[in-house]
Amino acid sequence: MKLKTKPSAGIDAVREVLEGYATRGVFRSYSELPAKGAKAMFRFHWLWNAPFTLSFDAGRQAILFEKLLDSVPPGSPVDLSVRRFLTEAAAPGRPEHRRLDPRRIGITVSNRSGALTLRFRAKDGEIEPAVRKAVNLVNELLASHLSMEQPEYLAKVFRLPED
Amino acid sequence: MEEKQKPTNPEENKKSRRGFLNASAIAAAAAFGAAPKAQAEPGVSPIRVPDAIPNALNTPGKPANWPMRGAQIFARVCKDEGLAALFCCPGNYEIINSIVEEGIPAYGGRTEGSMCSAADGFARVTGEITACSGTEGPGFTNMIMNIAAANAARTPLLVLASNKRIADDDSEMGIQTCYQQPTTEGMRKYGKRLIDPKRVYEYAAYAFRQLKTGVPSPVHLDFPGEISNARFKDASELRYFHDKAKYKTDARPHPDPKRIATLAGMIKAAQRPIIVASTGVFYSRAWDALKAAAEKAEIAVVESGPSRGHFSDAHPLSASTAPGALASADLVIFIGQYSMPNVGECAFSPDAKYVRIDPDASDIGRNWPIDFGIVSCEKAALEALASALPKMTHEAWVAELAAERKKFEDQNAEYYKTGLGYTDAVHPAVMAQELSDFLYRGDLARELTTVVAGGYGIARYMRRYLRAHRPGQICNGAYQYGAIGPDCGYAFGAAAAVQLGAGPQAPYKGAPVVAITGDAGFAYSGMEIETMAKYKMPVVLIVYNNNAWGIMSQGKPVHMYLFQENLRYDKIGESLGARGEYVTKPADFLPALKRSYQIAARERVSTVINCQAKREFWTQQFAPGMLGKVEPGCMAYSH
Ligand SMILES: Cc1ncc(C[n+]2csc(CCOP(=O)(O)OP(=O)(O)O)c2C)c(N)n1
Ligand SMILES: [Mg+2]
Repeated sequence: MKLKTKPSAGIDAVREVLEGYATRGVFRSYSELPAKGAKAMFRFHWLWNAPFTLSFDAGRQAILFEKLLDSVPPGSPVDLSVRRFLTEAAAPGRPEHRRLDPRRIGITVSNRSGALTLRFRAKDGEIEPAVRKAVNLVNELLASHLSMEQPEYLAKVFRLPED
Repeated sequence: MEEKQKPTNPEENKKSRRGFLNASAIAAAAAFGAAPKAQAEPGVSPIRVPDAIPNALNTPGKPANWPMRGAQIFARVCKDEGLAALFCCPGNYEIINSIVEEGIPAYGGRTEGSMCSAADGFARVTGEITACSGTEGPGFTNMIMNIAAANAARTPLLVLASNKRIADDDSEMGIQTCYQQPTTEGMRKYGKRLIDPKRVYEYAAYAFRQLKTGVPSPVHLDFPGEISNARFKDASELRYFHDKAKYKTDARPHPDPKRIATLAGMIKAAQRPIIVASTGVFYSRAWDALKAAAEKAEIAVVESGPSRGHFSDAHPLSASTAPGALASADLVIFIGQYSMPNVGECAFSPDAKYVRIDPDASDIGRNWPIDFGIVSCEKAALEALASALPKMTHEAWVAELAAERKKFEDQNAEYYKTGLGYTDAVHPAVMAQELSDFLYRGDLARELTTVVAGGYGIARYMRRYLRAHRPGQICNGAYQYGAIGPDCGYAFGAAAAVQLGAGPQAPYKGAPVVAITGDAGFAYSGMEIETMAKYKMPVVLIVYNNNAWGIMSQGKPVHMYLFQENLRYDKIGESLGARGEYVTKPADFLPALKRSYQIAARERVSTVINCQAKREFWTQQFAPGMLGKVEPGCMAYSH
């Protein structure tokens, strides 16, 4: 479902990338939600068939995975593990194709009452690669990093089948 | 193109492997019928194998001739079709005795469920078709968890059971009334209650066609009394009796050449292609074709499935121990991945392109979205791909794989160091690292020992450290079904396969087998230690004893999750005719392992090593705690 949004810089680029994932079946049950002004919001089912929300703030050139994870007390092992992963994503030793270039994309993690939001800001104004990078990093964070480090937490929040 | 694992010296390896194999073959010959080691306890009769057992084992079979009974006709088809082994408990007598008479290796154990898993374990390390059998109601229903586990693993397992006479249907005449076929619905590929004695040959053909084509899975036949006991003077009294060449074909679905060309083009366009080599690669015996295709274009290979080793972990293109590299792949080719992951269950990138090669077109596109599909037998597809691919290099990708493998090994070494710090109990990382060093970096040839990787929490560690260097080297116990318990059954089956040198186990014939299980899991199949002792199977069984069902977490009524402490599984082993080793300190593990392995090799005596751990190792206070996993690769067990 496409909504008429005020043409704002970047929204089309975000939409195009996400629709691409939906067309390929990576995202399912994809839809764009009503949003005001220079903002856009998308919902889709993705990892473990769980619903995810991605929003885009054209004014700030920022891609947000809002409330990506809940039940994460600040300073808890899960909170620290997420932050460590994102720091390491920018480490010079990482292969180029998986590395986050901090000069081009800035990441902020915020924890409000145990809900973690990840914010990716396209510092260079290049939206398309920033969206891809954000989606890939969230994929790696959940399907690889936390799957290894915090399996019990993931099983609980994503209601994965019990052992 | 094999990578050396320091400090292993391949020449020394060859020498010691040859020496070891010779020695173990001699020991095997000498051990048959030899008196077991007496347990010297004054005034107590030692455990012994009665002469009747080796005598019976040394009596050659006597294949039937006309006139034949239904059971004999069926057994003859089993022989002609190459049934590799039968595992059973008493019951279904006509069928099991006829199978033995045909000269098919057969083993009798302590519970039908474990014998069913033994058949499954045998198949997982050989790729051969095996059978299990039990008596009608209770023997058959005892196998349910084990059949379901075999079904989840897509094992070509023939499940056999006797049944009441058709004439007594619905009557509850006598005992053991059970409608079998509805019970296995959802856990088999094909099932049939035979009702016309004259069609016994025909239905045997149905069964083997199902077991040998497409995606394998269990087949369940139940034999009412009229079928097994029916008497036939000659072939004219049977329906559909004809030469076996006429009821089947050896033809396999071959890939569309245009699609192979497209795939070759996709590989050419990719920078970091990877093959996920799963169950179907093993069962189609496609390991040579896989190696040829991978090497031709420097395609990475990561394994998944109930069996490991169809692509060596030591190969520079292996990503099975490089979980960090998975997210880098830009082209992922699933081959023979019968248990298909859902999005999120594999660590691949959403930007990668996805291809599936599978003999079953109807499964392509299930769970994981694909960009391109090829319907084919795995071996045929890999052979076609190997010849269609131009020679290519992916240098940077190969370097990345090596770096990620090293990162993984470094992490394992780190866990080991942490584990050594706990001295009041044996930490799983200590067991895993030291077992790994012993099997792959010491005097033994690294491809020699077949391992059954079972258990729950302990398996999360062991899988990271166990290595597969040749087909069928690791049986992945909990694969997909996640059952706690079949491990000792798998171990017995794997040991039988190695003793026979069946399929890809031929070069390792006679070698000991190592198996790992948990204390909860041990309860389900531990009695098969007796079966190991009876048949002189050289098994080193490591029991990770943490006094608990390891899933215990806060707030639960703990009495339901905990056992008594300091239980002695080693003593259970001793009381069943095996050896026992009691290990309570990290430093004692390796010497106990070495002793047990040497005695297994020399005398064909099994050992239960009870490793005393503690349940707190799964909590966050004892880093690294319960480990997670990344799939596919060495840690995988869901898919
Ligand atoms: C037959 C069966 N029953 C229950 C479970 C649920 N379960 C998963 S892991 C686990 C604990 C297993 O304990 P153990 O084998 O001792 O492993 P560890 O203590 O080392 O974690 C249980 C009960 C299962 N997977 N299979
Ligand atoms: Mg336990």
